[in-house]
Amino acid sequence: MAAAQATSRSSSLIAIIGDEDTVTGFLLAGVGNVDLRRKTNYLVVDNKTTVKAIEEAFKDFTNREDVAIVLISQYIANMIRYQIDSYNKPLPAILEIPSKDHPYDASQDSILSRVKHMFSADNAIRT
Amino acid sequence: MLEDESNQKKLETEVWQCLDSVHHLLKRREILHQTLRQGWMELTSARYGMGPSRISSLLFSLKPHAPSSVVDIRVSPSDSTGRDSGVKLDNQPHGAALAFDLIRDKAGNDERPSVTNTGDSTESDKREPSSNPRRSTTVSTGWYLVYLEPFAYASCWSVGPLSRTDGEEKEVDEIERLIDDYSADSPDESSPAETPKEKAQPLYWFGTLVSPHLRSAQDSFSQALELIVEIVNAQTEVTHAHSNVLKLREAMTSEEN
Repeated sequence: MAAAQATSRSSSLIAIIGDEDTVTGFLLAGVGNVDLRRKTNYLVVDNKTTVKAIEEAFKDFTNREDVAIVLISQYIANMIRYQIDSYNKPLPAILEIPSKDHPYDASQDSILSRVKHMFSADNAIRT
Repeated sequence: MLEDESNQKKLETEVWQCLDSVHHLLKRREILHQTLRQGWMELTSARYGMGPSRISSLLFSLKPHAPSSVVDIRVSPSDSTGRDSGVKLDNQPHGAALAFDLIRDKAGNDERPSVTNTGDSTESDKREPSSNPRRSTTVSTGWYLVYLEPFAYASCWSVGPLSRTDGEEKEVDEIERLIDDYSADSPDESSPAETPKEKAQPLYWFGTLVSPHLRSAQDSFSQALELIVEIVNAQTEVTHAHSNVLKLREAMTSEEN
């Protein structure tokens, strides 16, 4: 059997892609990180932020080895839904969270929509 | 036939596991939503009390600092259903047997110090107050004297030693001693005025005196952070159970064919 080739990671970061209030709140909680090159683990999205910038930030955070969880507001995740649906790596874990102005919709969540599809009428479990 | 029955039982177990995980996940999400809503309301109240410009993303510190809340990842052992453990993180598409733990640095010190002495090192932040109390109280005044009165220092010498009074000579000696002491110091001493704990506290980015609503918002988002780690763990279980169900279904379908 495959031995534990997977190594555990310690002291990994939590990256955030959200609106100003969400990012401010989580930075107050102490997740903010700035390295020597002034590279941050968060992206504040406002009405001037382009979809390309969001895509690049998502790609950057998911490719970093020191990031364990990527928090992304669901309304921002909807802008890059194709990118999130095609993401299938175990780390970092992607978690869609609600925002102040956009409540969470479970039907749009990538993970829950896959599970829902499993229990749909077309894929009824045979007994 | 026996194999079909055992696969069927395994499939049912995995389906129940998946449904339980989804139920747990949705419950945690509801609590997270309430906690976040509380945090946003507190933040809005703080912004109303302090002013919109006092709580803004422009005030986020861009000085190198490490987070006080980080996540540890470990591979969980296999459970009674006999799922494989020690899964390769790179090859497994779904986060099988991964567990996330939130680690907080309550002391306020940087566990992964990414902060080095950069521009801030020019400030008087390299001394240990306990090593020389006299120095810690006289450094600032010494530098104050040197900074404010360099011309006075020069003028003392320009006048000439014979014309200096006893008071001026003592002052010059004091300044020379302070300069010699400071240049001999090691660069690893910390500032008595600004401790690393205060530097790392994000609350201080918004001012020394902040609204109690901002502190309440900090507490709410700290609770939300713990919920988020629980939700990520639940989500990992859901994806793991989901992948197991799909595998068992494929196995049963291939057997029937």
